[in-house]
Amino acid sequence: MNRQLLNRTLDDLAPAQGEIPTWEDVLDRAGIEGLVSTRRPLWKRSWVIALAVLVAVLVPLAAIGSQENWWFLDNGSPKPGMPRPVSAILEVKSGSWSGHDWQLAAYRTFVHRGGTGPGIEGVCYSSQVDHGRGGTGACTPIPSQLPGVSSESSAPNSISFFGGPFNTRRGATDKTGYVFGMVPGNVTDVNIHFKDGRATDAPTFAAPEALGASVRFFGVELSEYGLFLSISKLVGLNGQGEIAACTAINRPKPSATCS
Amino acid sequence: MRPSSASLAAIERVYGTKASGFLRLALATTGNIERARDALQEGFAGAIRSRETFRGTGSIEGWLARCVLNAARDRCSPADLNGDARSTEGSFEPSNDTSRTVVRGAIMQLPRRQREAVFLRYYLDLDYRSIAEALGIEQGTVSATLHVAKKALAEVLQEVER
Repeated sequence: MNRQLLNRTLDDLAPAQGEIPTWEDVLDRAGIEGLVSTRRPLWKRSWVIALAVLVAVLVPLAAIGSQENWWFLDNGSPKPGMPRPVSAILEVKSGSWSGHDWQLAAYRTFVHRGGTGPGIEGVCYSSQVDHGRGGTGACTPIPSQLPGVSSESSAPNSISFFGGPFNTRRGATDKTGYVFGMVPGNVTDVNIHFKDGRATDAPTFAAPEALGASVRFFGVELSEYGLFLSISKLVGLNGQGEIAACTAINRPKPSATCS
Repeated sequence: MRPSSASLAAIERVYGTKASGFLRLALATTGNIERARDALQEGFAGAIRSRETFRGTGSIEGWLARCVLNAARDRCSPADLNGDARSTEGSFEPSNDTSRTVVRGAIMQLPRRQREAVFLRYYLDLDYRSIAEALGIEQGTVSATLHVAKKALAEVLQEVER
């Protein structure tokens, strides 16, 4: 049997994904109460540790151009589902919200599809908060600047995003959190809509030129991290105020559309 | 009886190390990334909710695979099983490689148990005991099931190579 052909076909059938639902998503779905206060602290979860380590070593790794110790490499090979970095890791922006310092970093990726496929150009971006005490991230294909929008999160001009709490200690009274995301390069503002009808505006900021991708990023502080779980829609507007990108959150049940 | 936290921790450990493989299993089963993510979450959420029913006599990975498979099957339509109604997210563009299209068709035309056994073996690298747990069959049946599936695929692959 041509095992390589079979393996390539199985890889085509279900390629490794960079964007995997978080354990918190699963706990939420399971109806586990008191998620933020009862689940294991963010820094104790292995993948977040890895992200924290990733960001913690951003500068030295970028400086020496080495990729050997990156958290997503396992004995020299990328862990399943983790796109391979093809650029230096770049700081996009840093700041402080309500006393919490944060940094946003990004790097280019290229996912080989195997065989003669063209591969997927992507970007991984991740946050670090309070100097490595927490953080999370996302990896997605580079979004496109296309006319029209779709409610499908898989649309080329959809908006990817992630969020997290600033304080992950058990029993913490500080419930503030954040959302970061990436949009096509023509989006200047992102309106974040919540299920209760509220909305907040997040101006976008430029990606480092060295990233080599026409994308912009956005970030906003949340007064309560729980709001992250109630985001219903993100709408990206261009400089003319027109909708240039959109993502509607329709899980576990339909609640919003981009049209 | 309150479930032990160790059970939840064990499930989280499996999720932490193999979520990508479980997502691929769900994707191969549903043919749609959104439904696959939904099935992954619901499969694990269902496992958490019913974790008291896991007696610990079998493999927890196999039991979790069964949960995800059940959730994925619930999200399938016959059209999905043809593998054509796929999302374009990530690297989901249909292959224009004729050989792989033929082989993919052969995989999807396998009887469900054989197809799922192949998926469990490939995407999750499960051993026979875990595959048996996932499919609810005897361990001894797994070997025969995989053998028949591989034989059927080998015939197609030989045709493709001619």
